[in-house]
Amino acid sequence: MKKLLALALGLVLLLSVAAVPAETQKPFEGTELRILLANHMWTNALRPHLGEFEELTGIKLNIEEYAEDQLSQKLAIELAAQSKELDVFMTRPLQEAKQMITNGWLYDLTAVLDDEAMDKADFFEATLALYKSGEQYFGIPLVTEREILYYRTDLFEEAGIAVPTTLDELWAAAEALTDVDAGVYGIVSRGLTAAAVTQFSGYLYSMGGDWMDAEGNANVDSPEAIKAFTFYGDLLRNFGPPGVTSMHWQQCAALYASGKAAMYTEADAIFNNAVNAEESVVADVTGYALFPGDSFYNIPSWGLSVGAFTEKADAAAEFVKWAAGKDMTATLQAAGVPGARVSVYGIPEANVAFPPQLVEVIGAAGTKDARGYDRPLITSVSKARDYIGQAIVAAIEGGDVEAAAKLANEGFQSVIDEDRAAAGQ
Amino acid sequence: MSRWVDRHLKIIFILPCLLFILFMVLFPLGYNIFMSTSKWSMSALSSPTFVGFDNYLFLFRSQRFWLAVGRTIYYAFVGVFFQALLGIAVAQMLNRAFLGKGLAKTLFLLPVVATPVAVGMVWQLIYEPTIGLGNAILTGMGFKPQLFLGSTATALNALILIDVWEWTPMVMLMVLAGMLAIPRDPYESAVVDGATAFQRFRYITLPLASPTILVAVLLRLIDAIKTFDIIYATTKGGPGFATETINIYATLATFQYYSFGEGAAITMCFFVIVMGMAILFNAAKKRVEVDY
Repeated sequence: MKKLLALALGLVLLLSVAAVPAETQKPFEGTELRILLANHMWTNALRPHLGEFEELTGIKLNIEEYAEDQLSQKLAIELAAQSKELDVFMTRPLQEAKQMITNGWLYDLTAVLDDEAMDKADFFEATLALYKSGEQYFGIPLVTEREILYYRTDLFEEAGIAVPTTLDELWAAAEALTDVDAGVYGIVSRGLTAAAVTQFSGYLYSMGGDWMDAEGNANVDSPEAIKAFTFYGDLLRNFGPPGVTSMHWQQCAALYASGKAAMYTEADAIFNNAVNAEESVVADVTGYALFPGDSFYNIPSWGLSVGAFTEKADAAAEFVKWAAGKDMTATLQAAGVPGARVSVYGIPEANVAFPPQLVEVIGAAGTKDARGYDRPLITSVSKARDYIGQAIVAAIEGGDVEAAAKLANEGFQSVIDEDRAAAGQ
Repeated sequence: MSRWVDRHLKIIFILPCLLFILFMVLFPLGYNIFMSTSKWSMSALSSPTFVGFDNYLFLFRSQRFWLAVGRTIYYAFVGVFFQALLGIAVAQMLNRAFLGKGLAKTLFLLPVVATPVAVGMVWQLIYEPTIGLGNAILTGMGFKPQLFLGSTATALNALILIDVWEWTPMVMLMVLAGMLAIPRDPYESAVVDGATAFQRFRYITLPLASPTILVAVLLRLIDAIKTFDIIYATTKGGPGFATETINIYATLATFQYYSFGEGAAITMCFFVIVMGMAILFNAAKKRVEVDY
């Protein structure tokens, strides 16, 4: 009997020992994932947490970071070569994602999204829709952005003017606050050809224009668009910094952070770059306001996708679930990254990193005429942006805006036609 | 075995070179020609479709392409013209003994050994309109400040200035080598005949060094036409399309527009231009070869 008991006990012990690793098992222990990320606030906020994921899963992460254009090109080259070494990467749902889906470059993440822990319903619906093709989803949105107005509270107080709520008031404020001798320009906003297109969108929408007409044809030579080009160009030429036509957001944010601009129209998501306390001299004197027009964009700017050719899709999915999951989105939101999930905006602790005024502005953006796109919703976005950007540059340089808008429209229309022909094939 | 090797020695010796040409030159070229007659967005789901000369016709009808060709040629010729002028002048200056000649030569050569992308970044700072060194110097000398890379009117010329700064020493070095190879006797007899320094330069140095000058100029021309790094590191073709050369356009078409066929057709046109330059180079070299 005693022997039998000992045997039974031994068996139980053995089983429980065998069962222990089954509970804490790490099915992907030792797997290495290659992850390509954009040089973005989301990446900066995620970086300190990567070790947690490695510890949790035993997966080793090899992170590479690139500026957005370099990332886009690198992805194109590797995906065209059907690289098996490309596991997870950031994509822009409004920029390259559509072409990537059409090209069969992205792994179907529908199953990941359907995972209960992911809570698909928690995502802003419009953001998810951009990654949808048929019934499948090819990416998980990470970051949302709205065009807002950054402004210098001290300069506004000094001059005794109110924060602009219309484009006319914006013009007046820019004029009043420009003091070239003191090295302060009234306003800064992107002027670099293609990069400027997205931030120009608020001006275009507010003037009553849009990229395309109801039939989906190019419409950037409409009277409203010409008015918007002229306004944006005149504004930056008269009250903006010299050489603004070579400025992307990095240069604009640096200029604003160094106290050389009184106002700045830009995506809210990069607010850390503009007012980051360590590098910025304007951290304590920056106010946030809704874009001073009737309409502006409210979009998902970045998402996470998995390469279609990876041999580690399951491990990659594990990373996506972790990085775009509810907990991490809240954690990153707390670090100042506006997420794509509804729930995080309701958690007070998740919004501590945002200046309270910015939280208000983000909240109010939902109630205005906010559009889900800041660039044309077509497949060959990059090419279209290059053409539209020509008109912006011409307007800033004080050229013939009408002729430039016509030329831009022709180029843009040819891109649309090419897309249609390609879709018809 | 060794007899077999002996018998096939000539084939074995040229084989590595043949293989190299086959895989590194002919195959890419052939593939590029094939791609230039296709339409393909690099899709993994559909293969390239043959479209004949559509890509070329599209380019030949597009203003953007011809402007890019014009800019490429302007960039190369204007840049190399000044490089040759300055290169010859500096070479003539260094073509005599003086204290610190070695040091001067080394200092002159520094731009050549710098990484082009780093050079581009440094010049971007110099060209910064508000805080850059360029405008500080200009305004200090009483000139109006410039927008440099920030204006469609000046960006291409600003890039040419970088190219001249970086590559003049290269021309100088080659021309100097040519000058040093000129025998001393003509100079001695010229001095005896009472020729001035300028006459010695004009009627002895220049003609006798002209083959090397020509080689230097043509090599630089081919190189300048191919320039990509400095432009990409500074303007990426902007503002507008103001600095978009053929190379930049091809890169954008291929890797940003996902139009592989268009990109391939652009590079084929580019290939023809460079090939033309190379033929010119060979013909010119034969014509000016001189015996001392």
